Amino acid sequence: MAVRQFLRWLAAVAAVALTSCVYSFDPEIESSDSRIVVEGSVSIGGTSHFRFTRVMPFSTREQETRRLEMTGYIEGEDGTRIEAYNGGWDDARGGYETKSVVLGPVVTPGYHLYFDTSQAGSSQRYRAHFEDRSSGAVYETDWLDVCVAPVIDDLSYILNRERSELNVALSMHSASDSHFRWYYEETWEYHSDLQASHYLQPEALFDDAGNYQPMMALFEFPSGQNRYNCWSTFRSPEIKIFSTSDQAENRFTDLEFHRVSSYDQKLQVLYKLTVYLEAISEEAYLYWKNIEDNTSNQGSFFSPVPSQMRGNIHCLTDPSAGVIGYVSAAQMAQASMYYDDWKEKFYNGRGIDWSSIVIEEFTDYNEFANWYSRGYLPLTVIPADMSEDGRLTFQWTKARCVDCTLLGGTKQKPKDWPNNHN
Amino acid sequence: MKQMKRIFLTLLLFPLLAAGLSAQDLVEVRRVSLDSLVRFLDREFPEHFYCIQDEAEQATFSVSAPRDRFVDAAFEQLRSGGYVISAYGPFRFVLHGKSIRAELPAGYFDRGSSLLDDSGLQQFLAEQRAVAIFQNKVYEIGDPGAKSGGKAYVSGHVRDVSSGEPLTGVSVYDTKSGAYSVTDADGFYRVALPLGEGQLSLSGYSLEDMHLNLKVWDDGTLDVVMKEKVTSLAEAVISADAVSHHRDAKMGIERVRMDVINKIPTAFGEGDIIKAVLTLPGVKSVGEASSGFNVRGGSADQNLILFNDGTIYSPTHLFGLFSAFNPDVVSEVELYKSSIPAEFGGRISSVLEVRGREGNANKIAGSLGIGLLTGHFHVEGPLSKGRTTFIVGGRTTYSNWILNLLPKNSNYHGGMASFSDVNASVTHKVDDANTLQASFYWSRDGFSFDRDTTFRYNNLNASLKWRSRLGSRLNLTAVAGYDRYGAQFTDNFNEWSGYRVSNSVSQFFGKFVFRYSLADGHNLSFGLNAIGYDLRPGALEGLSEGTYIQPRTMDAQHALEPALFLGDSWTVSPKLTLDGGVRLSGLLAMNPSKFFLHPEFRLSGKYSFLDNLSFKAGFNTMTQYVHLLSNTSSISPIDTWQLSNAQVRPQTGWQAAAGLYWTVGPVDLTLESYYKQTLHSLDYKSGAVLLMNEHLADDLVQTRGKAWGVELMAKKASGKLTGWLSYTYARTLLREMLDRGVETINGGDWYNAPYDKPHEVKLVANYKFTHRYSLSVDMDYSTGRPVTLPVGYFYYAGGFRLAYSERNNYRIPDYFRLDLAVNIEPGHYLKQFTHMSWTVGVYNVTGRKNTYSVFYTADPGGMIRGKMLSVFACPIPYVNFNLKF
Repeated sequence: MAVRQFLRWLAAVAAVALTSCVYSFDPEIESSDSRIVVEGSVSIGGTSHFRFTRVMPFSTREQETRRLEMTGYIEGEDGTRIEAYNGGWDDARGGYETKSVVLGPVVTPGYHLYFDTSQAGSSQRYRAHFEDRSSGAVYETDWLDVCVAPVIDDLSYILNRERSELNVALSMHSASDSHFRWYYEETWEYHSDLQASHYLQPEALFDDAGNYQPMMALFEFPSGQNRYNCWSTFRSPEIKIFSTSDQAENRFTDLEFHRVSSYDQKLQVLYKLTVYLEAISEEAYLYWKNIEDNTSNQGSFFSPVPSQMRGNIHCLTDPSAGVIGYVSAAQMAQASMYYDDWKEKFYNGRGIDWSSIVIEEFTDYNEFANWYSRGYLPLTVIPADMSEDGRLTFQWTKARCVDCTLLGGTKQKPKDWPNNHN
Repeated sequence: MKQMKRIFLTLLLFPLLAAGLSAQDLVEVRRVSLDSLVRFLDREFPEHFYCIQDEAEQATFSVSAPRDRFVDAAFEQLRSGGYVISAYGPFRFVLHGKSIRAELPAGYFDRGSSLLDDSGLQQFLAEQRAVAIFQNKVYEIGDPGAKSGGKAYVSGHVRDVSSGEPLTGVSVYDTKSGAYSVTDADGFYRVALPLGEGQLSLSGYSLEDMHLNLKVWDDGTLDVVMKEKVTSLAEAVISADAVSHHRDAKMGIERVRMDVINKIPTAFGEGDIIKAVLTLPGVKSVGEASSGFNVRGGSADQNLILFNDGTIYSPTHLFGLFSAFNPDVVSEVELYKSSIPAEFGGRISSVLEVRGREGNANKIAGSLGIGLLTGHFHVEGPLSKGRTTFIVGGRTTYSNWILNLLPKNSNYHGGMASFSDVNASVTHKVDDANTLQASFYWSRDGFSFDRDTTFRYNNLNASLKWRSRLGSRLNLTAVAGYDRYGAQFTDNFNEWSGYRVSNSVSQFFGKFVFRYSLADGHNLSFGLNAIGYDLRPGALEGLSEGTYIQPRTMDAQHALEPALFLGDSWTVSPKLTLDGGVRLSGLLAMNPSKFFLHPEFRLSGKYSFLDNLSFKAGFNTMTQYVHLLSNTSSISPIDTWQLSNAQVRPQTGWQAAAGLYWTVGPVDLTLESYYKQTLHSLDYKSGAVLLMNEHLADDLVQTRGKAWGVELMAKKASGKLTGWLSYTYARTLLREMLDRGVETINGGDWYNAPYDKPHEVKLVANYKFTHRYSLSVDMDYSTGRPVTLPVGYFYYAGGFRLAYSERNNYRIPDYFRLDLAVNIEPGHYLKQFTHMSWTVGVYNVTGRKNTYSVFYTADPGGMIRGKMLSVFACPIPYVNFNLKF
């Protein structure tokens, strides 16, 4: 026993010794880099969307991006031109707020252009042409071969009970292309710990004259309404690419690309994952890989040395100006899968821990404002004839236990959600 | 319990003896072996004691007597054990059943012509393979009058008195004529001495200096045995470094013996050759976990690393945490930073020669060691007495097993990292003039960072070496061997698409080196060597039966690299020495065939203003035909080697250097400066693919490099305090050779090399409190290395991404580390068969979080955060235990 203890001690020491630790670090980088970033692709048979932003230097915490005023067209080799429509500057669209230590709170504004490429065929090459009217800079992409949509054979999950995780696996094949990129979107339904029968309308606690009227603010949920079921959506920022150039066939089978822990609330009720897959050229593949390596694969012993690869967009008015982005012409394939915890019972997450749930009972409705200000919400109302002391009794509990929107989701049920929850 | 008692006794005895006992005080030893008793006598009493211990001898001795009668009491004990004690002057010989006729002179003359009859002493000396041990005797070489004028060549071997192993790097010199030689790996030296009476001095690190009185009449041999300087902590008059600084014309040479290396604290306590090399001025690395090192602005693949003549392509284990060399079997390392002898070539930056030991010639000995992560052992000894010796060593990790002991939820459970290596060497003395040595080295490494990916690699080296004394002026060393490095990377992320990539580099080599001493102080070395390369840059295969992977093998690269070389070391006068060499190297690449031919020149000269003040200058040119393709921050095991071809030109470089050497008492002060240029070193285009790339040349760019620097070092090799302190200022810049327009790296301007760390201060010191206890300090400060940091970020494809522009334009924070270790040596005198030593130390005492790399992570919300990785972010305590038998 002592030997084993000693070994454990030794193991602990060794582990400390092997610990390579990661710390926050904020190098002071001064730069005035404001290269233009072009994101988008020529979507054959659909609407093409392009978003124009600029590189933001780290030193600028409150981003004051020089506004872009873009216009452009997509031209086919046969001379057809598709002009942009519905362009405009959007201060927030597509942006995420970040609370990062390094970045500070910023949003990413951008200029958006849309092209109706629904009539574009896959038999010819295209190129995109943009102009920034604010600076006069003109940008053009290389001629783009159209990659036809790969075929998604299967999108399903595999439950790894040993590791307590759900693995999402994708299978696909392509007749002609050997490089692929996809991104995915997760949507899930979850619920709060307790379902309340009543809700409070805080703004109704006082009438227009400022009189306290607590009972006018308490409502019973109408049938079919609750704050119990919620939905959340997340578009993964991960760059998913795959190359079959070393394979005899352009296909992959059961490629696990995403894991969800069985403790994750995403699996509590119903979980949906949608994959958007496109074939890309080898050059585009290398470009995406470079972006991925530069951002996510840094810092370890064998990390590739970062460097910015040039994409296929060129500034015609200033050839030395760098342009970030790679434009492809492709058709997107799409598939979805669902995980239903009612069937699988795989979710290991927090059950209702009654010991941690505080339910406050009181009979004086004048206390409503007090409890509300302390972060409580109504759970239920016990009629006088059913309560122990024969008085109308209110049960309130912590807001998070009864309001699912406080856990990040919304009450907006996605279209085609395959159950009747509301 | 027994052990404890002995340790206690030793501790007790030491302070008493040190305090200087009076003659009547009782001295006591209990149950010690003959060996230990004799060494104890040798140490504590004015006479010199020698013995030959019978291997089968098991007897132990206990002696207790007042100090003034202790020797007699000990002799009485020994005689009763069947030993005969002979006395000659201050020398006492303890031999089993043999006596020495003490009245015989101890002279030794060439090949026995003047040898006296087969006395016990001669036999003793012959058995020791040791000849000159008496400094107050005159040794005659040759018959008087054999030569009428000029010089005579005296050569021989220098060996350790107790183990009989050759002593490498011993300076053998004649102060009067300036004749000078350094013993080679075989302990061999040759000097041209003026006829008549003279004095030959020998000096080596941690060895007692010897000054032999000679009468030289003709060419002849004189073998010498030297004793380790264990009995005195007094300052030596002259150090081996001082001798080479003021006599040798070569510059930029650093020699470190294994016993020094073993005292340099390392992260896990084990003596580490590469880490020791990194403590030398002018040697840098990109971080704590990096498998290579950079010498004077060269990249890691520009160093030729030789272990027993074999090329080691991957000198480290466990992503650089351990070096590939088992400290038990290495005698010393020598690093050539500037003056590279003409016999070496093929790399443009440096040569690191790691010399293995031959093994104890007198008795079976060995060691066992246990560290935090590794265990090692070695056994050595004679196979046939006086003719054949062997040494075998092995190391392995138990890190894997330890990792699995950890709880499942720790990050380390299921992680994998392990290595093993085996060394073996047999040395056979065919006759007095010919020695054969076979060496073997094998290692394997494996590690994985996550559950799907595994790295494995292995080294294999085997060589056969023949050393021959062809005449009194001519020696030949011929060596042939095979070196192989193989690596594979497995990514088992998917049953059908999972793959394994493997690559290897193997080479056959042969080398003939003749050393010929001419009259007038010329020492020539000439010969040829050839390397036949077989590079397999990549093979890809699937991992399952139904795999989609199309097996693919990249074309093998074959080439022959022949070289002819001639070097001359010329002692013009005691003040002036010149060293010159020319090497004609070539590469004959096959499929497609291409031939390169490059003459290389090596020149250096020394002028001594005073006996202790010398100036040197040198110039050399180098060529390299094989290149490592590595685009990662640290060299990855799977990085491939590439031979020069029509697209990948040979790398060339030249270095001019000058230095000032000043010996002040026991301290050697060195100032060396250099300027260096390289051509055709490789760098990589953005997004380069190096693995399994059939069109690799398209992703490579060739660079021009320039480096300059000043290295200052103070070194003290003797006394209680030993070690060195150095400061280096060095810069290394690269520039792309071709203009590729906007794609050119940093717009075609000079950019910092990844290992450009301008300021460096290094301290390695050992302070001996007593013979048993010493404290080691290792301090390392350097400017942070250049890295490419993002200049901004942009929103793209659902998340924030990083934007980069100029390469290597920022630096990580400066590096500082302090390590301390206490070394507890075995109690020399009170052990029987085993000697225990301990090292207790702390690596990174201050716990400074040194930055290895800076990176940014995007969290699931797409936010980007700056991070730094610190390999050893806290103080790491360690204990190392070694048992010698």
